[in-house]
Amino acid sequence: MKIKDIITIAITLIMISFLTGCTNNVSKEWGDAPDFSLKTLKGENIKLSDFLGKVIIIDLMGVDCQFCVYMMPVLRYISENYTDVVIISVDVYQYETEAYLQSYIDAFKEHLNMDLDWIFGMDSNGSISQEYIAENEGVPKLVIIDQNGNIYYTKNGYTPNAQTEISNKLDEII
Amino acid sequence: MKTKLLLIGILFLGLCFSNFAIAEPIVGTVTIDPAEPILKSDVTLTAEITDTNQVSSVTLWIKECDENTGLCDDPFSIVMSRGNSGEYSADFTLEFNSATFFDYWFDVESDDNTTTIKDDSYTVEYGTESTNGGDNGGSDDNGDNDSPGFELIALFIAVFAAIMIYKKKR
Repeated sequence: MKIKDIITIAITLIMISFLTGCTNNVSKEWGDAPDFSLKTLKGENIKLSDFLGKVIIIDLMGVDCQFCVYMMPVLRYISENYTDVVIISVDVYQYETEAYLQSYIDAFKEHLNMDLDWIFGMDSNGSISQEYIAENEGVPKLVIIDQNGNIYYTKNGYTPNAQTEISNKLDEII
Repeated sequence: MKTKLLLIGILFLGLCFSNFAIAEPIVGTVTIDPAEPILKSDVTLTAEITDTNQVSSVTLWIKECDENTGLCDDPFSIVMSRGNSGEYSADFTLEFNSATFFDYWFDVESDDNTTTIKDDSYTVEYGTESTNGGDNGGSDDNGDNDSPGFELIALFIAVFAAIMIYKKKR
């Protein structure tokens, strides 16, 4: 065997090992973030773990929560600038309805020309808020889940620097 | 960003007022006791609610929020009881740990429909005690504990001085 062949094989092996290393960063198993099913406003049934391999932002909110309203432009910015990030807004206020949530989305479109073009759904039985909102916490609450299904960061409440804060966190893991 | 937030604020108010505009029942005087509640306090809310239709029940909704952290608790509701003079009242206990204000609204059930009455002015700011931790400031409430331990220091000095004087005399 010539030295040239040996070098070629060695380089090939090194490249394969690099590729393996890259794929190993994304696990095939869902991590510690509580998994849940959600019926979206568009009528689809999704599971959080369906998005394994992607960064997910769960936005726990309520239509009647004024601070949740302020979070919408932040999420709109994320939706525009981080196209690979999956955003899921979950209405956790039990008395609110799908129609009420839809009128909220429509109002943003109509009055502000702002497309809230991500996934929305109702936490109809309260199970999602039970998993993600501790006692004495409230909404809005943002949870960033990494590509392996692990909770990477949580933000309780709206603050004026929310957009920068969330963008920085996303930059860290993408 | 500021303009956007302002527009969103206006939109939110618009949503609230739109609910108010279609409401048939009328809410008159609302009394809140105490007027400036503190964290975890017991509150009584009394409201004059009239309707051209027969009011069958009124539900009061309470949503506590913290302006400092930008958080709101899950709203809770209480069915109001009707008093002798026709007013509706409800007793409730504030629950959220770090609230600075609460919003309230009414679901008025009359005949066969329920009307939600929300008004932007239905906001109650908490009293000053609420912002510095209402349930863990126990020592301030008791006048006897104003200077905990200081009297002991004075006693030790006095005993020490007495011993020194006694020793000197001997």
